[in-house]
Amino acid sequence: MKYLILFLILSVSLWGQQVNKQEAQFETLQKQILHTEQQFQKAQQQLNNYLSGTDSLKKARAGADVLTRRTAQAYEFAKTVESINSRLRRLKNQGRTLRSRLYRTYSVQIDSLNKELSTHPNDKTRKQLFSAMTKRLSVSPVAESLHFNPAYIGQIDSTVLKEPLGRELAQSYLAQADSSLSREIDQLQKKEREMQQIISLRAKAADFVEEMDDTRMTSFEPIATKATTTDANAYSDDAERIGTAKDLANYQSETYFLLMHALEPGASINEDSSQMLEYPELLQRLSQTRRFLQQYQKQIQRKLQSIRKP
Amino acid sequence: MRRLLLLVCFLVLTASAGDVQWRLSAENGLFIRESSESALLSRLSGRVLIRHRFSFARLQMQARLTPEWMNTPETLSTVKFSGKIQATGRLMRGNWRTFFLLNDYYYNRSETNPVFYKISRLGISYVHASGAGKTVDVSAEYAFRNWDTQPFNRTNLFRISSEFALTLPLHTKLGLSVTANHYEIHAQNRAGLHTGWQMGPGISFRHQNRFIMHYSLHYYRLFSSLSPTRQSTVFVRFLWGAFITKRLSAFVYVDYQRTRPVERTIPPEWRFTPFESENWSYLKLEYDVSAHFGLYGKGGYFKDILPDGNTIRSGVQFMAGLQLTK
Repeated sequence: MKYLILFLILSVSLWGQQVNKQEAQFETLQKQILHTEQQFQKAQQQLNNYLSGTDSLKKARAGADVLTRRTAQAYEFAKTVESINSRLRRLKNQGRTLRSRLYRTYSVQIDSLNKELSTHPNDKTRKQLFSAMTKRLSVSPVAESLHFNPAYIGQIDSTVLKEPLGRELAQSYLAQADSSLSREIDQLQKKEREMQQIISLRAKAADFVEEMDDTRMTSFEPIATKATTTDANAYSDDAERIGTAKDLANYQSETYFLLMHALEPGASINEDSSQMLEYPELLQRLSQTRRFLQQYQKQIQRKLQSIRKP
Repeated sequence: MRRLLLLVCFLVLTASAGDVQWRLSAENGLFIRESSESALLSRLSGRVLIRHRFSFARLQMQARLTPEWMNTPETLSTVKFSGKIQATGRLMRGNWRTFFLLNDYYYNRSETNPVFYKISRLGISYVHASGAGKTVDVSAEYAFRNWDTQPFNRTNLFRISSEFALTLPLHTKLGLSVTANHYEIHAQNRAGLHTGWQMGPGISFRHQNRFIMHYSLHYYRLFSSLSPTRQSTVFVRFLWGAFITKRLSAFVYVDYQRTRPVERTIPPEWRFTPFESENWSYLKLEYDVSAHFGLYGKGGYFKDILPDGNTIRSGVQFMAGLQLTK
């Protein structure tokens, strides 16, 4: 038993170190991205200036030697710009991977803290939960559409803020974050409702097409029975009907299948360059994000109340 | 029957591992045909759908059983079984999909021998996201048809198709496609094979948001080894669906096709006209009493112009039913 406890303590400690390492890596990467972006803009600007200078020389009918040298130089500048750009793309890719890894890590933390809070509610765990939520929000894609910085929210501590001006500023910032979250939650709820309606409509339409598949077979009931007795060499109307029946059956399956493919939840809907999500998956993500924001909003409101208290 | 039992066992065994949905429906109605007497029609339908998600793919299995009875002087009963297994997943910048579909139809009429009709399909496709809002879909498929009666008729079909789709504003998508089918028809009382190609372009327009609308137009040209006649088929399909109120939904389905010229040189059991001569217009209204219980009414008109170009069959069908879903 004591080995098990020792193992657990060791695992938690190692996991904690791993998280800290990832956070540090992410911070360094963000700085590198910012720095590379600046480098890229600077190099791009230099290239543009150089090209416009070359255009002016062309208009002034400068010598061929000069123009050849400048073209070669411009080519070198363009290569530098491309190289910085490819480095930037690589860094951004790394950033995305690390961001999603951190997002998953914080989600695990939040789940475990929520469980702990439900059994033993206490202020320390609540603070830890809020901190984990703030961190997760900072690395979440939704952070870009929020009109506040989650990192600042995390730094606001009512026990430290003694000055009236500081408290007033913090209160104003929290209230702004609260209303920004309300707007975002409303938007998500609206999207969820729309998505649910689309899913329901698609399922009903798929059922309808499936029913049509059955309905068709009924209509060729007289044909099916004729097929048992008809002489194959006959060119009567009945013989014509046999041909129709076979082809009809072939077709009906085709209609059903093509439409079902378009309507079923497995059909892709968001074919942008990065990912192809499906409606139920998209709805699930929307609901998860909305629930998370609602929980985070409650924490902000609690913080706001504690600051308002004299 | 053995295959059906195997599939049912498989579905039951795997049900515990995935997300299970089912649907039961019962409907009654009137089938009025111009060519023969009107009949009362009763239909039951049961469907089980199981979805399971693996880290690398999603698996979907479906089984559907539909028995029906028609109260004509000869009394007709039909049992239709459909099974489908499909797997989808992501690969590079796209989605792959593979499926196996099995349809068994059993027709029993009091006056004549029962008739079996079978169709199996096996296919694979890949949708590649080639840029913002642009996709290229490539698919290959093998289908086997068997009309299990005397004289029997079997068809092997190999299909290759490709579609380029472009996402337009307002949740719409425009698709341009090209399809080629190679067929081989075996008939019991004919020596040899009838082979040929059917190919042509298509255009489709799809919208899915507040309402669903699918519209497609295909043109096919037939190249047969037995006939110099080059048949052309134009084929239009339309599906529309929307919520009229929060609980009431409406759907419209229309199929229309026209084949010219009429083929007279090939014996009927060797003919390949893969698109049916039946034109359907169908309307359905559905009312959701609760999340799992609904009532519906539907009605349709069909007009069937047989390949001889002269014989026309037509009729209407009205059905009312209820359904339970989970």
